[in-house]
Amino acid sequence: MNGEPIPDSDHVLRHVKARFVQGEDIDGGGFRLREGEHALSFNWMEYYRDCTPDEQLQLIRKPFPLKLNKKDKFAKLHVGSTKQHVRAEHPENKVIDFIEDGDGQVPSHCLMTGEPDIDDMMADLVTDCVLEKLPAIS
Amino acid sequence: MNSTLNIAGPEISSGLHTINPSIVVKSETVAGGWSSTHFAFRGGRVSASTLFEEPSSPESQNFVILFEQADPVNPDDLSAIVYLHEGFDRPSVYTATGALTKMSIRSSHPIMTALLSAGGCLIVKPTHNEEAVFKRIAELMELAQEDEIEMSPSSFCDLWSFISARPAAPVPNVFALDNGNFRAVWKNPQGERIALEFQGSQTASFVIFGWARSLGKMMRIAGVQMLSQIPAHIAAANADHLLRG
Repeated sequence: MNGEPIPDSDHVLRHVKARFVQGEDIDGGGFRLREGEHALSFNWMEYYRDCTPDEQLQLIRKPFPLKLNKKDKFAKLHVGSTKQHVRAEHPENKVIDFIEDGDGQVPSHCLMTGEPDIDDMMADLVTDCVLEKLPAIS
Repeated sequence: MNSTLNIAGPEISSGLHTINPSIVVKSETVAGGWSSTHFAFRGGRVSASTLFEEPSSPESQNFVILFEQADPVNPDDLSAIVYLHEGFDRPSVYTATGALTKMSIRSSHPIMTALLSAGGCLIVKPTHNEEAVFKRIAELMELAQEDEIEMSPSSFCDLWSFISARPAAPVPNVFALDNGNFRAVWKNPQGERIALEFQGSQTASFVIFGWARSLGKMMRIAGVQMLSQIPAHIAAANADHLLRG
C-alpha cells in the first residue's frame, strides 16, 4: 500500500543514465534528486513477488515512464543493507527509507526518502551498496 | 575550405612535459553546432571538437587551448595541446583535427607565467591523464547532448586545470551531472574516494572518504570550497594517497 515502507529483505532498482556510469563504477550523481523530484524514484523488484529476478526486470522495463537509452543501467540495491549503510556511515546521522508509491501505470514505483534531506554524501554512500548494474534495455 | 598552418613555437624544457617545437593545425570552415558561448562535439568517426569562450575579468588574462588530434586512425587520441596567450598572433580559430577552448585564467596561475616567459605559445605533449580525461569528456559531451544538458565551460576549465596540475595522479573517472558540471572521482577497492564536482569559478563540492589508520575507521567529509583549499581537505581526510601515482 502506498506510503508503506518496502521490506528490508527486498530489492529496488534505480534508473541510472549512462553519463553516471564509467566501467564498473556508478557515480553518486545518479542518486541525486532530479528537477521536480522531492524523493528519488526507484522500482521495487519484489512487487512482482512470484516472478524470477529476470522477469521482475522485464516487468519494470515494460511500463518505465522515462526514455531508456542503450547505455543506461538499472542499479540494484538491497533495501535493508543500503538503509543500514547510510545510517551507520553518514557523518550527520541522516537516514533513508524506501516507500511504496505505485500507480496504475507504474505499479512497482517506490521512493527513496532522506531525513532530513538527500545530500551528496548520502548519494555516494548509496553507490557503495550497488549489487549489480543491469542493462536498461534488454 | 581547408588549409594547413605550421605554428612554430619555442623549444621549451620542462621537468613534467615534453614540448614540441612545432605543430600542424588544419583549419576548415565551421562545423554545425559551434558557437562562441557553448560547445558541441561532432559525432561519428570525426574527432571531437569544442569551443568554449568565457568573458575576461579584470584580474584574469585569457589564453586559448587547442587540443590537437592529428591521428586519423584514432581521432580521439590527443597528439598535442597548444596553449596560446590571447595576445599571441594565433592561427584560425577553427581547427579540423582539434577542439578550441578559450579559458580565462588568473594572471597568477602558473600556466600564465610559463606562457609569458615562453613568448605566448606553449606546445606540450599531453600527459596520460590529460589524454584519458579528454577522451572521456568527448564521450560525456555526446551523452549530455542526448539528454539536452549544456555542460559548463567553467567547470571544464577547473577540471582541466586540476588534472593538468597533477600529471602523476591516477586517471579519475569523470561524470557529467544534470546541472552541467563535471565530477571527477578517484577511488580504491578499500572504499576510499575523492569526488570533486567542479562547479566553475574555482569552486568545487567535495565528498571524501579516507581511512584513518589510527582510529581504525573511515573518515567521511563533504562540503563546498575554493579549489585552492581542496588539497587541505583531502589531506585532512587522509586521502591524499589517492592522488599519487
